[in-house]
Amino acid sequence: MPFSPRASAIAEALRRAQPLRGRIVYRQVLFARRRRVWRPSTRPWRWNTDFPALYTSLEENVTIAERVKLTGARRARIVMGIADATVHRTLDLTDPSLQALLGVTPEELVAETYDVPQALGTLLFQAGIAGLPVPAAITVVAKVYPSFEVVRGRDRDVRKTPASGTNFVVFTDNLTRGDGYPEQNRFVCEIVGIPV
Amino acid sequence: MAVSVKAVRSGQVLRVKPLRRWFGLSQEEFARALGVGRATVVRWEATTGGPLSHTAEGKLVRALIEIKSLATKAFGHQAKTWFHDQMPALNGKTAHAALITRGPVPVLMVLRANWDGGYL
Repeated sequence: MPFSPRASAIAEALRRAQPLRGRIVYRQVLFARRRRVWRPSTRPWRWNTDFPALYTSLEENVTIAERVKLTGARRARIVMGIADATVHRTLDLTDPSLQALLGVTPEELVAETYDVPQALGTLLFQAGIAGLPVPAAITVVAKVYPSFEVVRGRDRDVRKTPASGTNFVVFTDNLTRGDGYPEQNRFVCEIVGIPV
Repeated sequence: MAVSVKAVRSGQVLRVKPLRRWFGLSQEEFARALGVGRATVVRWEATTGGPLSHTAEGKLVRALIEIKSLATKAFGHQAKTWFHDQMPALNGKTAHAALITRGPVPVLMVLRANWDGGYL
């Protein structure tokens, strides 16, 4: 059944929009794409369809897990960008009460198919929302690669892969005056998933 | 569909044999990946070289060409080995297995996301 929340539920959800201010976000791209660290994606991914979206995470290890999800046991050279994000029209989709109001389950938001997140993301984009904290779909990453190695300069660090976390999706076309994500720092590192 | 000499010369025909070998797929596996019979792959390789670019099979072959290109750009000399890693974005399956059982599209999505910085 297609996702179609009641109009009153959407209206109530939009009333819960809150500013996200001064929050550190992490964004990584392949080294070959280092000039595009903060450029939004125009292809449709989990939360967007035919409008641009910038995919970031609220924790460094979560964004690395998102990369390991795609690169597995291959060593990937990435650029990690760290920014200080302010987005006024933000709706926290990790909030269970908001999920219940919209009639979605946490499982649907991280499912292998994107029907529900894309439909919900499109609806909220059309309603003017610019920022979405969302649950990261990384449980399967932690199962297949329970840890990953980060090599930065001479430092080698083996970290436990998080099984959950929060991503922050920015619908850049809806950013308004005062919104932005100025970069605070960036570094180059290599990451590789360590299988079971 | 009969393939004219003109179509071959104009590059509208996609040659599958080098592609199949690059992916390390047997003719049977390659046929399954494209949703055609093995006899079709055998015929392509023995005669015309492959499907016409604009046909349904041609679109899938073009997806394979993009997969090869993106994997090479992202992983360089490790591109071929990437296909044999368990891939969380493919629910823990390898890209090689996913190609054969589900066709090129899911694997192409993973590599596009990898290149684009999108989350799956």
